[in-house]
Amino acid sequence: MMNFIEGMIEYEFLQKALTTSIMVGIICGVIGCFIILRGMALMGDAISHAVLPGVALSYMIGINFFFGAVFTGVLTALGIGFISQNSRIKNDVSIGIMFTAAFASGIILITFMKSSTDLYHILFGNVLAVRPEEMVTTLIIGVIVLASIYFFYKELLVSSFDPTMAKAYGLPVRVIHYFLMILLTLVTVASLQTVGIILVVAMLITPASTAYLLTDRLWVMLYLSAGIGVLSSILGLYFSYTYNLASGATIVLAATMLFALAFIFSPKQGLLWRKIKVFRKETSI
Amino acid sequence: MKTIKIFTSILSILLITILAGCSKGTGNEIKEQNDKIQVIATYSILYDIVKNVGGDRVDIHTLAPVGSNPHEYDPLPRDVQLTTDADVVFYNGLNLEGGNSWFEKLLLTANKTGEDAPVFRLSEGVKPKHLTTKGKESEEDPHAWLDVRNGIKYAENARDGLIKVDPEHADIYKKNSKAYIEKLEKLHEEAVSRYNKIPKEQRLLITSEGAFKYFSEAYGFEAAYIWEINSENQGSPEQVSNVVDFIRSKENPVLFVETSLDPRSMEMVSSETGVSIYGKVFTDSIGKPGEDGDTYIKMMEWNIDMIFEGLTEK
Repeated sequence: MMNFIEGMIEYEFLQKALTTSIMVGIICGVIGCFIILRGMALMGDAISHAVLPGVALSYMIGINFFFGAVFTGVLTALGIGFISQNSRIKNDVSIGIMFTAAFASGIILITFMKSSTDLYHILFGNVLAVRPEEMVTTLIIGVIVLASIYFFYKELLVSSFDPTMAKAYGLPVRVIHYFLMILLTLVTVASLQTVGIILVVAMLITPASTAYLLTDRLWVMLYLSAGIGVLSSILGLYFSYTYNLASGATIVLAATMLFALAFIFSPKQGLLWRKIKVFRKETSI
Repeated sequence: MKTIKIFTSILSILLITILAGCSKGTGNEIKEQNDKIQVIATYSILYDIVKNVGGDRVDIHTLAPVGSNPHEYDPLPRDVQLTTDADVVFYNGLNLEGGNSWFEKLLLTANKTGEDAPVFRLSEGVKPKHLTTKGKESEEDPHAWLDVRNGIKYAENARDGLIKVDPEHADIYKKNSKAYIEKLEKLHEEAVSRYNKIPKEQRLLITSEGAFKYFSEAYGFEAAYIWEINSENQGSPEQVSNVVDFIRSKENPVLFVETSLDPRSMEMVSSETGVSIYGKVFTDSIGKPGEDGDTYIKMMEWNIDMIFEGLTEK
């Protein structure tokens, strides 16, 4: 542990890595709450994969990959909605069709790029090599995401828990849905650096699910989820540094470990308390 | 809210115990405080060349470990840490580490950028060859070290780099590099005289990756390959059918497979054409310590022997 702290003081790359992964932990945790409450975990996975062609295109044209990623991410989200609304194909199936199509075109686009590969880095990310301008991008995305959630908290709350009621109130449910898709794409782009495309979905849903096991109130869940996201980032980076392992993977596993703890020990939902309750009931009878 | 508090306190106690348990483990070794020059080489071949030139004066760490493919590498925490602390960094250049920008990013993170950063390109002075695949003609082929004459240039550049960061011990580096270069020159001359015994039209070399451009020029070979350079586009239908047609058009061709690559593509080509794979050759990495080809010289000797035997004994 001391080694880690000393390393943190001595090495700038660790400080940068920690700052970035903490920012990503917060925004993923917050957006993740809405994702799991709306049952859109698969959608999160889909969007994260769908940014690949956008990233490849941006590299080819030479613009910030942020724009391309948002473009293809939102396009895929629209495509998924369009297919499931205009045919008998169910939503999960249409997600599967669209995101694999987007991902496959991404792989082809990447082969047209410079000879040596970028795919590995986009797929798995490496927070140890984060650039200052990428940190700024992450920060801006973080501010946008948190501000949006702050200003539209009520709308998001109502439409997440009761879409029918929200519609009856006259809330533009569909607009909210696509707005959330845009936020999701932004978060994915921010996380490309730390955990990469494949593991983003874990940062979105694992801390949020952990928080979900611990509370019934949305605002508490948002704070908890962000906190757990941050904790996972710190723990993950600690393990990565101490045992010389890939940092994206250790961050995700740290999040999983926290989830497992909550799953067993959560006061209301935990496996342990439930077993105890059942046991008590049985003995009292 | 109370339950949450209880939960968080349980959680923190658990975490502390876990972390405390972990820190007893292997952990990061404390940096040794010695006066040796801390050197970073991007992959194992440079590691070995610099080791021969630097001798006891240097502590070297190779980024892409022995046996791995340096075209794609993702630095781990220790790599970044050691690069930050390093006195000097040696890389191949010619598009090897630059392509996917991992090396460039690493230098940036390790604060080793700028004009006077102690970062040296060992392929300095090598006449670059370019790729021939359509659309990639402007890119350089990195595999210069497979021509031993270029290996000599690498050794000279390593010597000059080390002298620049450690001028006090210039004599040692000069002495080491002189002895090493003599060995390399001998190796090169032997190879030339041996290969001259084989008629030129029989000197044909077929591998998975087109890594033997420099080698072929040095020793008068014609080289064929499945794909020209490692990338996502490895073993596409067009590439395989081209090489299969090529092999069928030749008399007595011999196939070789690289140690640091997945052999399945070459096995497929072999079963398609009925030509067996004669043996393995080293391209992007030296062998593991204690095994075949575990230094640059041994690896080149192995390649030269293997290819010679393949062409004469078939």
